[in-house]
Amino acid sequence: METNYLVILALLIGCLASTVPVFMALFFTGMVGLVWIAGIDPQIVVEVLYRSMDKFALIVVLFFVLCGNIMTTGSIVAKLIKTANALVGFLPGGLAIAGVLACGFFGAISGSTVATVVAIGGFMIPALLKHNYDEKFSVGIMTTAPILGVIIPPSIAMILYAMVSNDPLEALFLTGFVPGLLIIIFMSLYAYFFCKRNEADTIPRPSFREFIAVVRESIWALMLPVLIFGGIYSGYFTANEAAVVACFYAFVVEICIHRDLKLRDIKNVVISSAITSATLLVIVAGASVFGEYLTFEQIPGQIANAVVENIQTPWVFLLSVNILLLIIGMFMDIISATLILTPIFLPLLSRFGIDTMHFGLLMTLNLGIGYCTPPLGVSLYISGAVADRDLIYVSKAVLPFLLIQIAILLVLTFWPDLVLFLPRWVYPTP
Amino acid sequence: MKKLVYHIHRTFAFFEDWSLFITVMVALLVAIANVMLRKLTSDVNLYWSDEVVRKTIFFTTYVGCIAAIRNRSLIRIDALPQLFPFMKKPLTLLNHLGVLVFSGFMVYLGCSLAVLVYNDQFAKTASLQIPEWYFYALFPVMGVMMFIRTLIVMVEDWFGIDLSKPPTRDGEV
Repeated sequence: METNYLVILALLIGCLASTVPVFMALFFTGMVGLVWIAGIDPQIVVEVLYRSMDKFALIVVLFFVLCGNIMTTGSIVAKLIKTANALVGFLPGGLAIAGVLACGFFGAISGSTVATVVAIGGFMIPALLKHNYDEKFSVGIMTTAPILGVIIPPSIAMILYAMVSNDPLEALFLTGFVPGLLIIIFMSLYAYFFCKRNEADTIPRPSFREFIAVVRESIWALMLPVLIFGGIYSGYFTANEAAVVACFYAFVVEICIHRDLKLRDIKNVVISSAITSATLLVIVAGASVFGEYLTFEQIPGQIANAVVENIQTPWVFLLSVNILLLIIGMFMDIISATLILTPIFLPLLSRFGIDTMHFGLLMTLNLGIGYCTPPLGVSLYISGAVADRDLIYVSKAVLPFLLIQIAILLVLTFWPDLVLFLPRWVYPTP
Repeated sequence: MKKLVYHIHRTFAFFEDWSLFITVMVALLVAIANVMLRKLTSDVNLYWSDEVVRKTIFFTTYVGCIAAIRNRSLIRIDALPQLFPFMKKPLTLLNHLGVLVFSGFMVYLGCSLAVLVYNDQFAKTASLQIPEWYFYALFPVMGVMMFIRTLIVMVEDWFGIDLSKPPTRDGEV
């Protein structure tokens, strides 16, 4: 039996390492396990592919991706940066802090780190350099701040985690606000003190009238997160309905009010969103086939027994998982890692008395940090291309910011109430 | 030969793009109509809207996959070719072979399952009573399209053809 497990593990790692698309790697591994090892009819595998996509909850992924793409194609990014600049641009390091804030605003609309790096980083890195900010600092902060895209809800990774763990999505979203706020505060503080010492340019403080004019110009964009979260947490919308409404709102705002989305752009935005969503959702289908095999062989339970025999306390377990996820995050994208690892870790959480929502946030944060961790974090390559710098330069540039994020991760790991007080307060258990 | 590849590419792209656009817009319009009716009226809703949205998600996911092969945007872990650039070509070939094998599975298994469901006269969707075999039939169709699309991508890679531009009169692309 153990030889079979080794074959399956080797096949999975082999397929993933040899750049076979993740969903196919999961499909092949699950297929070999179910058909050749467990002796199940191969038609069941196709049935699993069908049933895994026949779920209404998946609408959230498609429509939040579409909403983010509509806003990126329109003028939202420029408006968010302008607002953030008006708020904090006059402080020492103000432009960098504005970049972090803009990532936070954008994170509340889009659910992806890569989208945030491209949208905000591509705009902010040249702007920071133009204002005489230290280049290494500029590249570092704009490579790491986009982690806010997956931490601040709506987050695609959290949506997929909630599907596997059966946590209420609305409550899971709430776990992201405090960590997101902590990242904004501490990265902004670092930027403030670093730039004060290095005397980077500041922009003049806007008058009250100028500030109001900027807010008025951006109000429709700023209202989108209010609509999403106001709707969800007032109980007026479910998360699924909020995704639909947000999408419709974004279309109306960009086409009729901002008029920055031309009718001919709509087709391209819709098609590119459908393709992006398909690349994510098809991993759900592949993971379902693989998950079917794991469940059939009761592998998560066996792993749980083995781990519990060797690790005694929840803290040691969480610390080990943090290290493991940080390493995995360097090599694997957040969606694949979430869908592959969540079913394996879930049975362990109840054994150690760890809240599944707390773990979901830690997993998202860990894997998000992996996006900007050398040598293979995707964000490093995007920022390197924007700044025309090599990987080693960008890797050195992100180090201080990575340390800040890892410190926040450790605090959140060992202080679960900091993550959970908001969902417990909004959704008290009877 | 190059002209033929280009025309197949254009025909596939037309089907992929328009079917994705139409299904996503249908899903969005049906879903928003249902939300509005539910919130603005007390007793009117489109009981079939959830089913339409579920089926469009199913359709867009698998047709979107074919389009993702065209864009080379299927998610994969490309750590090895980044660390060892000399492995890029053999790994790309392996990746294409993986997709071809997967397509073969989809055609074979999808066909047999679609026939099985076709023979079951009660296999219909709950709200709109659409025969379920229509949806199962997407698997072999997807398999065939994925197979041909992957061959086109391999031709693009090996011969350095740029299919985004139309071929010239002498057949060059």
